[in-house]
Amino acid sequence: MQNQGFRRKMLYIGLMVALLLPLSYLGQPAGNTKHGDEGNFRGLLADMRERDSLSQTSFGDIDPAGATMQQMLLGLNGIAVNQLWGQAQDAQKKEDWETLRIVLNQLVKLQPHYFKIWDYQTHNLSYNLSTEFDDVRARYKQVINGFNFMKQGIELNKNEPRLLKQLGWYIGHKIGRADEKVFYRKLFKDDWMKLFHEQESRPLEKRDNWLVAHEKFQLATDLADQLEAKGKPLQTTPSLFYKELSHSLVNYAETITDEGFEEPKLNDDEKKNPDGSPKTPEEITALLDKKSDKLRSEWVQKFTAAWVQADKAFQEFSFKRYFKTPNNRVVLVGEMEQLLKLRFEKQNALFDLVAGEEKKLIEDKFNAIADDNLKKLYKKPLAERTDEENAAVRDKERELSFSWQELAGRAPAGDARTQAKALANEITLLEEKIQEIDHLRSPLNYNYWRIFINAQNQKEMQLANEATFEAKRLFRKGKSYEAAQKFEEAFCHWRWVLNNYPYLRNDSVTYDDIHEYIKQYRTALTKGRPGFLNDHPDHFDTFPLWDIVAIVEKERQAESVPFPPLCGEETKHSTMAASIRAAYEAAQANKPKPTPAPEESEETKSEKKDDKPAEQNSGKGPEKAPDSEKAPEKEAVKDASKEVDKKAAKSPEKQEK
Amino acid sequence: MVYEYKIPEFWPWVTDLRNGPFWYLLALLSILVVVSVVGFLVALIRNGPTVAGERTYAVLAGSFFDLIRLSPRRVWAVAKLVILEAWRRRVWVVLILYLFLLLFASQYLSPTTQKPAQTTIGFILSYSTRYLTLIIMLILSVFSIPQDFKNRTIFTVVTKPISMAEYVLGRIGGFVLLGTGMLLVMSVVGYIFLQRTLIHTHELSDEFIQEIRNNEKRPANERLTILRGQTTLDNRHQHTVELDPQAETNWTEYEFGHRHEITSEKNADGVTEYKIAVPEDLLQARVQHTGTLEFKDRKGLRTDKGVNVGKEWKHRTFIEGVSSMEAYWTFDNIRKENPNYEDGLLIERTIRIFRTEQGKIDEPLAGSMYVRNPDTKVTSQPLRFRAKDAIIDSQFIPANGLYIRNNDGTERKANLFDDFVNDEGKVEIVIKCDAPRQFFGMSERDVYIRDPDVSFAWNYTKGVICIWLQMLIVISCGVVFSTFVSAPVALLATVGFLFLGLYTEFVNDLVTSQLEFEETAKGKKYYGGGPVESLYRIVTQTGVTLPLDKTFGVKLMRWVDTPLLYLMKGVNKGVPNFDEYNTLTIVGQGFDVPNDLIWSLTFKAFFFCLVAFLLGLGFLRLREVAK
Repeated sequence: MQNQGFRRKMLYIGLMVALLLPLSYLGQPAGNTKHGDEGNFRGLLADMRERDSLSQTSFGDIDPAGATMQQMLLGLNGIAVNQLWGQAQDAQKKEDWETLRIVLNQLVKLQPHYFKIWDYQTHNLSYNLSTEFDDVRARYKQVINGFNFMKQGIELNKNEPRLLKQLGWYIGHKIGRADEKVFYRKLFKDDWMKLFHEQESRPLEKRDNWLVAHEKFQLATDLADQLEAKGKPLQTTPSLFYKELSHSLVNYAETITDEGFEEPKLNDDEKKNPDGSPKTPEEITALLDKKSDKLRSEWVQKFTAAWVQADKAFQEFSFKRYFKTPNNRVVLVGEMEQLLKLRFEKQNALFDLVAGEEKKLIEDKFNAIADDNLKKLYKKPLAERTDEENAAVRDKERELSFSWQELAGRAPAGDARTQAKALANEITLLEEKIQEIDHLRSPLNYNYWRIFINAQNQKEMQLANEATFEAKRLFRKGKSYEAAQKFEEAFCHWRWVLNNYPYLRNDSVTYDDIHEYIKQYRTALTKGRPGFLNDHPDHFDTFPLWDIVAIVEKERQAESVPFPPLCGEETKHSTMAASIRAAYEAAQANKPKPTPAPEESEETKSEKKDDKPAEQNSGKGPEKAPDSEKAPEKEAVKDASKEVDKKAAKSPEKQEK
Repeated sequence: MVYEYKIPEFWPWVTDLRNGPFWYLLALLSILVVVSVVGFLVALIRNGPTVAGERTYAVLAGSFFDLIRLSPRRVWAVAKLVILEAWRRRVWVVLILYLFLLLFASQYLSPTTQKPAQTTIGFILSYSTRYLTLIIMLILSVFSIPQDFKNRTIFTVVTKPISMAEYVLGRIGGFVLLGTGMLLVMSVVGYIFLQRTLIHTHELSDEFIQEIRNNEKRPANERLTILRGQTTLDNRHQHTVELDPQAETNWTEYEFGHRHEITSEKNADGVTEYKIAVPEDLLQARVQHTGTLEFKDRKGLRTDKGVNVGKEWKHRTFIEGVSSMEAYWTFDNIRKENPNYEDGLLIERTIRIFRTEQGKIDEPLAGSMYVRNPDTKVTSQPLRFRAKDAIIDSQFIPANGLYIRNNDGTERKANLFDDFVNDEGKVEIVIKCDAPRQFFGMSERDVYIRDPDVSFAWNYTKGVICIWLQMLIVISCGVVFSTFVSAPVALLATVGFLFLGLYTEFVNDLVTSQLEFEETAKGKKYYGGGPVESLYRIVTQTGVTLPLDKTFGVKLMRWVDTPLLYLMKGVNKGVPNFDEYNTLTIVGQGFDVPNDLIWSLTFKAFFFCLVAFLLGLGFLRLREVAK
């Protein structure tokens, strides 16, 4: 009995050794496989692990604590992870942030290579958790905690470009787009508490959140390119991934343009003359103005350069980054305009070859329609058709359309037809390619950005930005008339931009932004003088941006509103505030009482003005509406201005706010 | 600090028969009856009724006489043997392991933690000391008695004049003594580590010093009265300072859960030098004098809860700004004779803020606090404050600095004890939010009167005592299981039992949900039925919320489930709630662990130990009966 037990034990040990030997042979360190040497499998497992990136080192830095924890759980990782997720959610619910942080650290030790955990929890910390705090600095701290959490993930997953991209995105958007962005950007630049930049030894001038985001996107792009070269495709939509590189620079340029420059300050020494006596207020103002000029010039230089840089990056994205379409065609997202041009040329060449056959082809198809009622419907003007009739026509439209090959078949027999068929094939291919690029562009809102970036690099746009900021600055300082004048100057530049880039005029983001400036302009004009605009109903006749007012306040379809002319030397656009001021002062001088008129009288006055015939307002300036359609739009603008003005009359303080 | 439940006072709790002790006694008797009956039944099947009866009597009588003849000397002899055995098994290696853990603590402690005290205490006590002690004690206790059986040393032991009771008690006692020694060493070393890790200081930053010097050079009428700057960056954080150059003492702002005192002193050259002290509020034990919270709703009527602003956790409820809503706490035992309250009351509050609109992001919301007499409803002038979200903020109510506004608009001086505290020593503290359309959130323990702190070392000891009590439960549990099953099974059973102890609340809610088919008191509803129904749903892949057709099979399943659920409930009641013993978070957060809590936990743990001892004794005797 005892011998039998001993024999069995020996057998088991023998079997174990027999199995371990080949395993040990296969599991030798990598690099022992002699390629091409048949039958030699030494180190095969290690080589396979390396090739398929299955070893710990191929993911990134090894975390010994995490690896130990995983081994110790003896395959119960799933249960532990589930438990920890539950704990994390409970801690978050119970506002126990410290426990949440600890649990998250344990969680990522168990699942260090799972992209979603890093992404989800970074977002959770930076976006959800930060808003749980009331103090803006406490919020910022949580935002940065989220970023630093993601940095750990990047260390452990060095072959995961998506983490780098997400980190860049969060740095850019959370710091630069949150409601608290003014504070966040400042704290981020100052590296408050040395929470972020210090560890990455980033120089001071590169501590802008958009530039840091760009830095991360650059790393992500480089890594993705390296991996692609090794045959490891990106596990996300490439166009959306790669666009961030240029977009971060666009956002940077946009932000610094919008932020302007800080108001200059004088230190104790600057407030004194060299002999130690204090400077006069005039001297101090002159010094501050001088400093402002310097800061302004630096700012203009900075944002102009930023837009050039953004344009360069965008061009690189458009013309140097190739994308594979679902049909395995390699395209450039920016080549569409060139292809459209080419298609147009080839289309014309084909029409020349078929010599008017396209019309005949349509006629033949039309004549082939058996239903006489349908034929009648086709001839019926569009406006007179009912919905059902329109639907019936649309159903048959496919039958009337023809392919390029079909048309090429109508070319005269011989060389011309061969040539036509070749052209038809080329046009079809071009159209397919164009459509595929269009599909690529659509989620990127590419057309908008292309035009917007181009416009931003125009001199007039730079002037518009500069004047708009200056106007807002003057307004902040309480210089209402100077602000209004500056706004008028800005609006003339904006007019140029909108007329030269009609796409932007019809874009809601742009016209809403400009409308905000118009509202500030109105406030500047009417500050402390409720009902003032009603005394000058003709003001908007020559207002350069009345189309924006019509679109936003009257909710007119942007496409149906005509473009007003550019500001000319003859117009009084840029002197409107001054002339209104003069008129107002004259009116004030003639009034027996200097106090503002009571509410009722303002209302009555405005009603009287409303009753004025429209003809009275015409012919106020040399530049009129370009066509007769303009008149009703102008009325719309006037109405809108009155409405706003009435509100101002009722609560001037509220309007100022 | 967050306690989701009210801690009952120990003596009223222990002397109230409707509560704890009565049920514990009942449980003890039930267990003894069940064990006796089971033993009798086993013997009955094996040996027939007469022998079974004789043996059951012999066991019960023998156990009883064992108990009354307990000799501390013999118990000590067994305990000493246990300690020697454990020492021979090199149990001291655990201490070396602990030292290693502390040496590499930086690997585990995050430098960016917002609450360094809580994290470090958590690491030292909870993750290192607690787990190491519990795991080693668990292993030692479950392997000890089976090892005696295996080595047949038990026969040698029982041939000596040692009773079974002395043997079991000696085993438990030996392990407890051994664990106590280890715990003592670990907690002392941990305490030293804690002090050395957290105590730090800063200096004012060079720029700030420069600014202070510039300010000093200005003419007196141009000097700034408040200067704002930073300290140096030490221990991976720095503090913002709002410095009043005229004041002798200033404070840094709270950062990473603490602040520092700044003292100024003129040196020999007449230049003011600033010294920053060691951290305040980092390692401390606040003593709370808690009150009872009630609310007034938008109509000014009394209510138990404020508004729910949509938070999932309903622990805190909210009051709306500039409305009739208010939260008020009634505190009792406020006597003039109490030297702590002689000069006034130091109120500490933690307020959560909920904004319905942004307002000024960088400005805290305004609130006001009032003192009110619970009988006459005479109210003091508002004591204004700026609400610091989720941070403990303090405000002193001076006994003689209060006013009462008369109906005619005039004010008269008032005294806290004469005008606001009633004859029973009760006073109301009212909090209102002064920001329109914004909300303040609070729970009962968020506002309290701060009594003088107890020493942190003592509070730390209380945390260690709670670990010790957990160790007592683990050892008792391990010993009792090892008296009737083999060591690996005892290990698994103990681990399972203790694991259940971490989820007693969940199991209770789960069972109650199924038995009552309605929401439990905590508002949690679990679906899926009892054990059989759950198994059916798992096998058939039916979702837990999907109602089942009321067929005979389903009815049968539920019929079987009902007694099983009651069994689960019963077992769950017998399992000590391990969550209760986790007082380390309270120590880490800087609050005194209430003595009432310690007493009640001690009572429960010792009771559990007593039950385990009797069960262990019974099981060992049963072995005799059943064989």
